[in-house]
Amino acid sequence: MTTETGKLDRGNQYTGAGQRWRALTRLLWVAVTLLTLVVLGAGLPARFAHIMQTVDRRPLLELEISTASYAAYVIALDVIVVLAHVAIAAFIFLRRPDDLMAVFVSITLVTNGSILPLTQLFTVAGLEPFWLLLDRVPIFVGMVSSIVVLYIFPDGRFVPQATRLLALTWAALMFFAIFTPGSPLSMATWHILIQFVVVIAWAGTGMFAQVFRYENVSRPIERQQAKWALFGLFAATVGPVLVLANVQADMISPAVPNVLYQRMGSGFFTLSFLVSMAGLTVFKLASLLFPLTFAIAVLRYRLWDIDLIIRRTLIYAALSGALVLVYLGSIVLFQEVLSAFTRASELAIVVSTLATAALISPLRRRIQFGIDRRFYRNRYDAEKILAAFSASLRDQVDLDELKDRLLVVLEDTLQPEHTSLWLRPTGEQERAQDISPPSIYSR
Amino acid sequence: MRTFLKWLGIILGGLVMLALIALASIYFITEARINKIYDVPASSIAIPEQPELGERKFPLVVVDFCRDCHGPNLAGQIMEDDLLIGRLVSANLTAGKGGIGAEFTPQDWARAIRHGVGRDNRSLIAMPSNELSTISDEDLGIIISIIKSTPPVDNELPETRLGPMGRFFLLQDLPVLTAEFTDLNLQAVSMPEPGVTAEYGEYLSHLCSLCHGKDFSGSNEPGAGLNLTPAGDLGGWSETDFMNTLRTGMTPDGKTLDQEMMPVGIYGKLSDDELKAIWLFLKTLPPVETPTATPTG
Repeated sequence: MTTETGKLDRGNQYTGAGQRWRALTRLLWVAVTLLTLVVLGAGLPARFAHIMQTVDRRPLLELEISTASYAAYVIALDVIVVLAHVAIAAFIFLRRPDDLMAVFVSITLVTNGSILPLTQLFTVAGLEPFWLLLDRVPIFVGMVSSIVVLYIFPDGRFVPQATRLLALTWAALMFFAIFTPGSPLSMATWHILIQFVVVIAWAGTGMFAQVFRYENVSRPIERQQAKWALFGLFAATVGPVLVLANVQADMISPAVPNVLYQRMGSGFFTLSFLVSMAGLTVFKLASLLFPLTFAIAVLRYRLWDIDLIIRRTLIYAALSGALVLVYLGSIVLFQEVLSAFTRASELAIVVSTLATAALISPLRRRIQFGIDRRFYRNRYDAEKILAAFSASLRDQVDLDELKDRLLVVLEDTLQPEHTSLWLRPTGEQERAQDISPPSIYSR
Repeated sequence: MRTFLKWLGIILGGLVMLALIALASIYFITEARINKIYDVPASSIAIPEQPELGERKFPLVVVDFCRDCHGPNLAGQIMEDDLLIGRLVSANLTAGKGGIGAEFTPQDWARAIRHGVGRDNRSLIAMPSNELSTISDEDLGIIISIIKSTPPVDNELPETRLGPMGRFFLLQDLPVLTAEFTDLNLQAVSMPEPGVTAEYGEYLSHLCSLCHGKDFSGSNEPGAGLNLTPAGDLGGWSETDFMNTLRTGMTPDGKTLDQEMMPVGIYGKLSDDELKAIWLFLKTLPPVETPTATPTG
């Protein structure tokens, strides 16, 4: 598995001629992430005040919720979503800063997770034009990368090739829509139905590209690794659709006139408000699918091998902590015990150090065993099956039985789609090879 | 385990079936009410081409009141759009594309405003006809004339529809279907002689009852009006305080009224005599002691 991943990743590594690009890409990631977080952070107070001013207070009064609490809830939802995206993005970037695809996915995660709150900043009154201009940059990056990532994930190549043209067209559409919203080329000036058709069509081409790649290009290991990531990538396309739906909802939903409110009764609109709040919460939390599925792909299926670093971090952090405790505890213990015979504390330190050093290897094995059993069940199960198989080898003398058991063990541990066992003919069989093929056992 | 899953499936399936039956029942019961045909005798409303208002501002204020729901240019709007509640749309009243202004006869206008019945003889939804039904024939003619003279605006809107929860509220006897709560036999309505009198003030104050209640004592409901009876917040006010508040939106104790809850921008347009008449009428109300909050901004 590691070898396959290595080949896949080497395709995206920078060669010697691209060292400058490497630095530039790292700089780009930092710039986009910082810009996104700074613009969001700078806009938070204004957005908080905007929500406080524009929210319909009547249902809040009915529900006995203060406008500040409501605004804080909405902002907190945004912050949770953004931080979840940024955390997994930062993790991927720190692990694979030289992998172009990993950096691209990381940038997509940062900007995609921030698209909705960044777009909502447009509706905030009193925000400086400078901030509004900066705001457009991560929105543009997020809208473009959300679709393009579907064309190129996971090897960085456009598959099918026609998607290259689609990506360029999408980028141009987004550029005009975001930076020159009033121009005739801007999607923003088109009928809303056409806008929806365009966005859904492009998201559809991205999904088609991934299905096409999955069926025709990806190797089994890539399929396994990308399975969860693909689910998240499809969820990522919801971002651009939601941006459009969100802007449109702002346009067509003025506050309910008080005449109508009094006519229909407060319960009618309070329920409507509750439904909207629940919808808002579900939509925001649904956008966590993108980082969550990537996290599963990374942690469970070793996409970009990040689970190795996590596993080692867990093992060695636990090991270090345990050793420190043992070392300090043993010093105290030995000093107490040895104080009856000698006043020198050096002996206690020496004994403690030796005892702790002797514990390193067995303790590491125990911790690794515990962590594998708790967090890496597949690996734990596979190791147990292999250990049991090794033990049974000593007692097994029937070759056919052994072959069957070997195939079963391979299936249980590696879970391949097909297993074949080829046995080299013995000397006698070699002489008879002209009339009989080598033994092949399949399951 | 299989037995457990089987029973779980049966219970969940049963619940889904019950929910579907309940939804279907609500739909068919309410659909019958929504599609009920109302036979309303035609009113004979004269619509003047050049309405003479004189010093009276009341008809203009009523048209502004209409703008609260039908939009500033009376071209209609989607007021609420929710999957469960439904979509509440106010009609385009102008003669533009998608509007009713060009095709409505005087009788159609009268039925819609006074009885809450549409041109298709079905009930309108959430039209405040109870409050508007007290408007005299003469003023109604002037109001329709003003609306008809509004510049045409092309605005094609979707139809109003009630969602499952909206229909459920309909079953709770909320005044959703207007025609169910109006006097369908009401024909000619006259008004008292305009002047600074309590009678004329009462005529003008009917619109206020929408938020302040039938006895004008207000309520604690969100967005509802305060207590206008002598025992309420206005008990210590003078006529000048009342007029100043409606003109400036600032109460004598320095509170600013929320324009959306108490649209003084609309009611402040009433003439001095009209405001004085309303004040006189309010002073004649029986005191009702109910605690209400002033809708401040």
